[in-house]
Amino acid sequence: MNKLCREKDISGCSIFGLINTDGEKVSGRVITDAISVMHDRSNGLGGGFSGYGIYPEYPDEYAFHLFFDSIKAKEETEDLMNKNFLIEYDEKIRTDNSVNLPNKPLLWRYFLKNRNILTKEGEREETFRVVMDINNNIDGAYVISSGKNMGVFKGVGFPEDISKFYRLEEYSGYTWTAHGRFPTNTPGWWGGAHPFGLLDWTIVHNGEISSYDANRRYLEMYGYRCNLVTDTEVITYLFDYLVRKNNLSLPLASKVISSPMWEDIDRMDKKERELLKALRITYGGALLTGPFSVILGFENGIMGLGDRLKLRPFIVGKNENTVYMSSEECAIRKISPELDSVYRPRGGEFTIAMLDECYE
Amino acid sequence: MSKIIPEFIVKKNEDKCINCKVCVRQCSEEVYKYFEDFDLIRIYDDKCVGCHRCDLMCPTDALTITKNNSQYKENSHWDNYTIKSIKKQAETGGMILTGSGNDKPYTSYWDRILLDASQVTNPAIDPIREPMELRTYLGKKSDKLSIKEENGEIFLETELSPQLKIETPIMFSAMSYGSISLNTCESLASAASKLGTFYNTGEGGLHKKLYKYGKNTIGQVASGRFGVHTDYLNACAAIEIKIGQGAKPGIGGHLPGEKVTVEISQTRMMPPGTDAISPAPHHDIYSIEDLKQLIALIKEATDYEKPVLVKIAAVHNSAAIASGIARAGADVIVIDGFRGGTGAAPSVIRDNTGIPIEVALAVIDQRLRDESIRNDVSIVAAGGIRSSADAVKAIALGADAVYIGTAALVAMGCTLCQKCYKGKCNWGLTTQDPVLTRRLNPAIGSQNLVNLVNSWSLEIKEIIGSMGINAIEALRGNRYRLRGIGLSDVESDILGIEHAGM
Amino acid sequence: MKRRVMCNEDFCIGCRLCEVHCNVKHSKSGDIILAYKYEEEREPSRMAFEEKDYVCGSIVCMNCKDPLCVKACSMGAIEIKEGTVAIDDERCVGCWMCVMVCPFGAIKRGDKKAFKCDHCHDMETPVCVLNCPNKALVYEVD
Repeated sequence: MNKLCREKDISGCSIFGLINTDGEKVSGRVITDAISVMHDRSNGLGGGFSGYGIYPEYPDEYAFHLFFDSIKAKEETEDLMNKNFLIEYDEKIRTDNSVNLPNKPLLWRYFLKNRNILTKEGEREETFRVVMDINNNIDGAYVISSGKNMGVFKGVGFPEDISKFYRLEEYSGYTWTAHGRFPTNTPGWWGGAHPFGLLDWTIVHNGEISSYDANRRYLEMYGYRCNLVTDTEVITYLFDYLVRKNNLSLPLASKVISSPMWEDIDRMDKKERELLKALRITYGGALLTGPFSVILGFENGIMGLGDRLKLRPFIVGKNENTVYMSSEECAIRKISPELDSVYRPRGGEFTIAMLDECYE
Repeated sequence: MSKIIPEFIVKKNEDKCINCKVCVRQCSEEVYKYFEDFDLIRIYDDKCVGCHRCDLMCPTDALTITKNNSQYKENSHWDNYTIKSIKKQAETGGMILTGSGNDKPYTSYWDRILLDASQVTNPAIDPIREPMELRTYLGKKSDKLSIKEENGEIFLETELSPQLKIETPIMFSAMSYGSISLNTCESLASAASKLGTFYNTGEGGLHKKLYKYGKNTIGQVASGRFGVHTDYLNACAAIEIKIGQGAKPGIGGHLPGEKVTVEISQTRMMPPGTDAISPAPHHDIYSIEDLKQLIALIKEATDYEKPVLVKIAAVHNSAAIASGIARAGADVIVIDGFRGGTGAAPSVIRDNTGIPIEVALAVIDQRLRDESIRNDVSIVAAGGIRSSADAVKAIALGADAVYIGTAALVAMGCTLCQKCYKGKCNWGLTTQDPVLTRRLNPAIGSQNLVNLVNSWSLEIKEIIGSMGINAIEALRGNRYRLRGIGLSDVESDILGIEHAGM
Repeated sequence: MKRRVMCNEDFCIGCRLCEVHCNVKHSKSGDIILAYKYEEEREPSRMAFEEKDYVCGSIVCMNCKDPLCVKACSMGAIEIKEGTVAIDDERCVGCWMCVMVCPFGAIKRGDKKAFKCDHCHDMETPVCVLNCPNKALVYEVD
């Protein structure tokens, strides 16, 4: 697959996310059971998962998952990594090769430690730059995820096949997100599957962003390069930009991405109005339009967010200490037939579930 | 004897003519003359400028104005316009003057750009049923907001730079009191205030009667500094420094003394009857650092409460100039393309100087992004915006808003006869003759402008809705929704758009 | 009720189309070309058009509150009907007293009878107002 895929990726999808707010870990099998209920929302051209808390043996190293098209790409990438990082451990990602999937790339994971002594923010910025560097400048190498104690597993196939291929039942995490994909125009390319990951952000997304190029060109001013030409990539970068680089809280970032309408802002009391007006004026380039619902995974929680008009399905369920987010209720009921509460967020409304606490 | 062949033939259908003499009374060019003794209306075709005032006023549609088919021998190199120009110059020894915008058949890139729409994968949005937002804020944006959270309360620490709020991304571009009549200015001003947008004083100062529209006024400061004083600066909502004009880059302005009436002289603060000459450059701006000082000066004079716009003509080096202007502290950059109008310009300049707004806009937006300073300024595109589709294309190429001038004049009656420089505008727009200025009733002019902008806004909503977009900021710079047709690779690259089919 | 056609001389452009349309309205055919080119008898316009330098305007009957013409008419031919001062053709003897006293010059001498604007009583808005291209003529009904 060429680095600069010029045609934009368009797809419909199923998404699912769960978090155990007490931090108890569940096996990847659970989420596989859930996403496979929504089999008909994908067409076998993409599926994937992200798990948080899956590498307790390397909690402080950046876990990089990579796709390589060639050994040469792998060597170049390792040279580049070595400049900034110490490779604590690396291995081929364990797979079940009895699963028949097309165009499998070489899959590798690294656990990296920064060579320099940096602040937490500086360290993340450094890691971000290396990820951008690899994705932009090394032919045939793609960083699939790059956070700590988390990882993304994705490829071309139905989600349940992808899960079997990566042997997900062997991993356990406190947060899982999953994605089944129905692309309309992308050839079977592994990098195009979801979730999309950067640092510890992961995004699974169902939708098509009509504001894509406005967002892409906005982000490119701040050092992001959107080479994968997917909406998901842009959404991930937007969250990274707003939250990590601009220190906005997740609720405020979601007010930027799915901004309230001006007529609603005009009706708010003065303090809130001034704040939302300032956000919308300042970060106008980060407003997403078009239908979408996304589940954003991060270090200690997940957030669901829909577009301003609620053009894609999204539902939240809660049972004891587990919060579920899904395209369809049936997927939640499959793994948790009894629920304490079920909630359908309105357009542009965010839902956050975090470890130890939970608010909607 | 003049050797210039008349451009138009005026035909009167005698079967229909009721001899009411409306044509005689309406034509300021004196094409018609009534001879009482013979009860005859005599027609002088050579004086006709083709403005169509007479045939539109004629109650029986008895008049037709046609192109004169009797022309010099056809020659694709020495066309009629060229021959006539030479003859005129041989007779007068002067520059050929012209009015309004460049009418030569250069490529119009607007006509080579097509728009995208949603199908299946992405629902189109119906503006009648769903909110569709056109509100735009012009001005410098902070790169980052500083927000503090204390005891669950959120405080915004950043103070925003002054912004101009417009309810639709269309504003009226600079036309001075002097180049246009006070009634025309008032029509623009009152329309802008009804629409929640802005009009621009041009370099004509602000007439006392128009101070009440100050909230919707952008006051211009140009090289002649006419009408610039503290009250003026403070009455306007924003100040625009005019460096250049698309129709005549590098050329100043000249309002002949006979147009400088007492009212105009008072507004412009100059003696009545003397020529109002705006120099080609500002004589206190010979370089970019001087511009920075003037911007600072204006901000100081207005308590840092008003955005400062800087308007330049689109020329080859616009991108670098725009970057300089952004760094000099302007809040908004206005780019005026070579199709932009003028009250008067030497036709050799108007027809040969400058570049298309589409191109200038595309390269400026890209350059500012490459330098990560696009958020430091807003971009307003001007010069030949003819329709809502042009406006949508401009915004998708990277503009925040557009200025319309010629389109606004057309809405008020202008028929583009291009004789603005004569001061005899039959539609009462570009004239100070009290017989003619009363032909524009501001109540009608303003209503026509409101209707025009409202219908364009409706069309913009419909267009972006078809793209699945429901807020104008999601269209801004969204070049992926544009496709070129019949463009070369170089042209596509410069415009930053793909060819249709890609 | 009072009907009035007012002229805003700031916007009267002197085209005199009000007169043309007034004539057509009061012609036999009601068609502009027939009225002007083929009808033999055509009343002069009921508008009084005034012009000085660049200021101009047309004036018609103002329907005064206490009309002098009504007082002056020795035949009692003028009365106020539905808010409009009207001349009864049957009774008018053409003494022209009304023409003399009208402060606006809005009553005209016809062939043996006086006549004036009837505010196009069969229409909602008089034709002069409808056809004024610059909305200088304004129709007021209190």
